[in-house]
Amino acid sequence: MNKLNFIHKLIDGHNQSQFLALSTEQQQQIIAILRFEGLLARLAHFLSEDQIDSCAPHIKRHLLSAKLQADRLAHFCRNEAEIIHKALAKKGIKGTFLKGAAYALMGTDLLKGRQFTDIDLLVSKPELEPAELTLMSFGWLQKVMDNYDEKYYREWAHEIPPMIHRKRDTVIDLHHNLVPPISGRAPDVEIFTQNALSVASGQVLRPAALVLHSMIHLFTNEEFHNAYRDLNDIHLMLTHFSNEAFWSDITSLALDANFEDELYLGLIQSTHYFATDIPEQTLQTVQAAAQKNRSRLTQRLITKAYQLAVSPKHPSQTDWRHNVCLAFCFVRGHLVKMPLKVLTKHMTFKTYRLTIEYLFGKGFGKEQTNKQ
Amino acid sequence: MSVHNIVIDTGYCKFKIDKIPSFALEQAKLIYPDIGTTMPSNSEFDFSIKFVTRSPVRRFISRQLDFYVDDFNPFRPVPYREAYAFLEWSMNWCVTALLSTDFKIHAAILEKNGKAVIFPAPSGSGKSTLTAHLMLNGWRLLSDEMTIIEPSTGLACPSVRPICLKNNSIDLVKAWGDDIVITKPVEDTNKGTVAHVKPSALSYEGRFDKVKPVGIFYPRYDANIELDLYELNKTNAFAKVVENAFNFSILGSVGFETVSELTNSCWHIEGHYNDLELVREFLEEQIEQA
Repeated sequence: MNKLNFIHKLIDGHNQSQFLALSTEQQQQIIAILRFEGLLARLAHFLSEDQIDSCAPHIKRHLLSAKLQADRLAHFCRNEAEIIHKALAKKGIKGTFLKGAAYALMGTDLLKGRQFTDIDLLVSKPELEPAELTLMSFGWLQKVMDNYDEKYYREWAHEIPPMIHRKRDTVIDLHHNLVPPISGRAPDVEIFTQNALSVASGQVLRPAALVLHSMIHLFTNEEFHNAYRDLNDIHLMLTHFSNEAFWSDITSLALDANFEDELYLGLIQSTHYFATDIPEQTLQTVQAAAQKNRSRLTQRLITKAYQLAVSPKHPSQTDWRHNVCLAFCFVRGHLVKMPLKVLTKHMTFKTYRLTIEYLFGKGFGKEQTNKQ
Repeated sequence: MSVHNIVIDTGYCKFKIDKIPSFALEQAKLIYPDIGTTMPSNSEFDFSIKFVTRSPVRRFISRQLDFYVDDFNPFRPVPYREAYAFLEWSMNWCVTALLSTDFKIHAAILEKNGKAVIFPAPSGSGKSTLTAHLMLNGWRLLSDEMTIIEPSTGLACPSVRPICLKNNSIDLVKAWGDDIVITKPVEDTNKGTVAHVKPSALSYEGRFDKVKPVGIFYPRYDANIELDLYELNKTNAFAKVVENAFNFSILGSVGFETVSELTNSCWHIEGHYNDLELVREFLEEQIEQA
């Protein structure tokens, strides 16, 4: 049995019962890989209670444990979102929840079994400072950083440094854009946030914007630990939201905001791994748009590189080819977020800093302005 | 370094050990009966554990090992000579981090005459010395460190692993008799000097026998006190169980109900003592009254 091919089919949303036909030994191997990728809880959610009950006791225990943990984390995430929403409402700020937090708030069907960690929240640029101060007054504090890192976040990035609650240890990543402004690709956030959906604790992006953002996040990233899970999220969302209006919306949004590359990669990889049902017309339009940016060969190379970069990383399923592609995408991930000149300066400075730290210990020679 | 394919069966959990240094395997054979002699079918295990050295340099200089659970390596490397101690630690980690459906308390648990007593205690309170004394005097060890309660039945599940002794208690227990099986102490771990006592045959053979807890005893070694006993009221009893629990909030309402049941059905006593015999006598009397 080719384990990876089996897994791709297993978590596409339709074929989970194939798990029951496996031998216990095979089930064990699948569980190890799924857990590694953060997808065990998802399989547990796809299976019905009776199906899980029919498994061997130790297999059942793995599935139920993963499901339990994921469900509790989702519950904590919703609670946290409610607290944040109420805090910001006092200043008349209505943030838009992104990514994991958004999925948790949107309802019980979407993306069950996902692992949650930080809460991502988007506010407009003018609202950023009042939001930050409000959150601080409610107990979310920022890690102390040195001046260079502060500058990196405040001037170049699309989010401010993470804020950690002093008692609950929950983390908020407060965004004012979806992509670092320094990259030159930061869109007018309005076109993403218009027609946002209202949920119990604020709002979330409308489906086309939600899915496109997920693709942008995946394909402008330099590391891929969670890439396979993120791609599965994308596949499930594309399937869940699929209708004419959705496809039209996501295509025009991507073209307007110049993210046709990311949309193309998202659609192609999702189809490759999970056989997502995408209208031929949409695929052709997006492919043509992305193709304009580079030669055919380059496009094929990039697509192939990402194909391996997003595949599962369990050691039993990777080889040197994955490392090559990961290295390539690591470099590209940096380049799409920072112009080469800036990146070179940034990397040089970081290397210099790391060397000093290694030789003389942390804190040596660093400038740090104490926050008021 | 040798390659071995063995399974450690603790009752609650089975661990397949894929790769382990020979000296660590020898220690494991000392502690767990049947390793290498009976080989359960390959499919019946919960987690696979292996030790490898990733860095070619660290294979020779300041030897260290990386250890993997199901090929996942979230941990820092460990010094080579601590391999056995870390095998034990990694088995704890698997149950704590990856199995959440049963209620888990950081506590020892032993049984006599069909009645189990739970012993929650932080490190350094003398719990393991007491555990060893009870086990070597006819009590069945379910676990030295992790009490596991099935929410649906309220029964405690054995997870039979060695008793971990630290520093002074190692020599103390060794002096109790020549037939007590203890691994060679390993010094300078982050817990000091550490050694493991083999579970008694009674304990190992009973590793599938679940039992109802009847009491919770909080041991506090105090050189100046022979035996002082304090009964906890229900509120404190509930709070203390939660304080020592691993996964109370993850279990949500199920956790709450399990602790309520324990609070109502068990006696709750805190004991300050320097005399192990007195404690044992007290406990053996107490469980007969339940």
